[in-house]
Amino acid sequence: MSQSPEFIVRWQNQDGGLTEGPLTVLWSLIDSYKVDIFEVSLSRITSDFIQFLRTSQSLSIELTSEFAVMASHLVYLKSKALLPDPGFEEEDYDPPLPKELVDKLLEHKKFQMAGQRLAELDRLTAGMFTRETNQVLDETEVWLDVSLVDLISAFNSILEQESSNEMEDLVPIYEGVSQYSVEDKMAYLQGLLEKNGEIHFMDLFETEKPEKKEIVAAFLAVLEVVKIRVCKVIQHAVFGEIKIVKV
Amino acid sequence: MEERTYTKGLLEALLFLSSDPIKLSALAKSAGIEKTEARELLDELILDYQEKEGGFLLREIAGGYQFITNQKYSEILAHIFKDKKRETLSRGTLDTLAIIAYKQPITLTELDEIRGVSSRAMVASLMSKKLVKAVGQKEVPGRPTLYGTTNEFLLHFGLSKLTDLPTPVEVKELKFEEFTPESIIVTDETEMNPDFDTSTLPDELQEEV
Repeated sequence: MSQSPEFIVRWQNQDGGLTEGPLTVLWSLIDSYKVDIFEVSLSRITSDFIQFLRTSQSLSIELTSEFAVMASHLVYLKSKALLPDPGFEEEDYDPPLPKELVDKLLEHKKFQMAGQRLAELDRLTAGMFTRETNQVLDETEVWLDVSLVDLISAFNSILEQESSNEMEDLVPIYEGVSQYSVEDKMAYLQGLLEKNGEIHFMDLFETEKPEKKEIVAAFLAVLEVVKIRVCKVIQHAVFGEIKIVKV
Repeated sequence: MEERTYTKGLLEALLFLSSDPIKLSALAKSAGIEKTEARELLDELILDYQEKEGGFLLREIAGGYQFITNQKYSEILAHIFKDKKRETLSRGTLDTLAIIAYKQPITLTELDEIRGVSSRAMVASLMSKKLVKAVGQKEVPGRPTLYGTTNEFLLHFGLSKLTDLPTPVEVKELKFEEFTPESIIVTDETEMNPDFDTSTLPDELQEEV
């Protein structure tokens, strides 16, 4: 039994069950064998892993389902390796870890080490400071991608401007077809884009005081053209103005 | 030559006044010179401060230029400005972030596969820290969300672009005895990663690279 008490302590000292998975445990076990990963015996690691599960249960570490999955996967691999192989006659052949598991472990380890380097960088940059001033160079070219939330709040502010129309029915039942359709708005928007290359958000409306119906149609039209990737929506970093530009 | 010194000084003054990284285009525009000339002058400035080995340096961060304190004072400054010091991230978070940074764009399932544990909570926490964002959807059944790093990620780690990330070490290349933390630090930080395939990145990241 290679599982040393020291290993268990190391395991418990980590940030908790969620941050460390079965792959980390497997790696620690392999580490404790002091042999190359390509020479690790499948049956040994299977029994050690199951042993680890038992021990840690008694240590009341919260075990996630991932550990059970890994254990059963190991047992499955072991059972597969135990099946007689017609081309292989040797009696006491101890199968090594299968390639896909080794690859997975190596990949896991690689990113753990990359994470370690990021940790060093994180520690270093945490102590590196920049000046704190409120001088902003007029960076006219800083346009940020707009999130859906920004768009909705932009539409909200337009809707609020238009509170005088509060009493107006959103969908007039008697009129049948709405005056503003999303298709029309899309065509209008694309026409403007063709002409100017970029349009400001407020240009979408034909009048100074758009009706609710028009605002809603314009909103849906913007979402639609962004979805079909005709254009993208950007927002100025400093003034928060929203622009629609051709892709 | 006189005018060159003047412009160089002007750029320095602009950088001195600003707290955020300033883009090359904005600097060139403000100083009224061509981008190529601005880059040349800025490179000179960077070298000047490097040679001086003083308390702060000029660095390219997140696609812009910024004055930042010298990393050799990192530890002591972090100690002196305890309350201003940024919280460091937990190891689990950093491991997840590393996978996203090198493998982006990546789906949750692919992330779970490498980590061996569910990463949903970790990604949510990284997203709330604005280090990671959704960058698109993978064109496979279910259209799972693809995740990538943000501009804040570059700012956080003081990187100019994604290719400045330290090259991941291939574990297979190491001898067994070398699996110690010390061996990881040795590789050259400034070395560009030749395997880092930028063509798979989404458009917005392409620009950054």
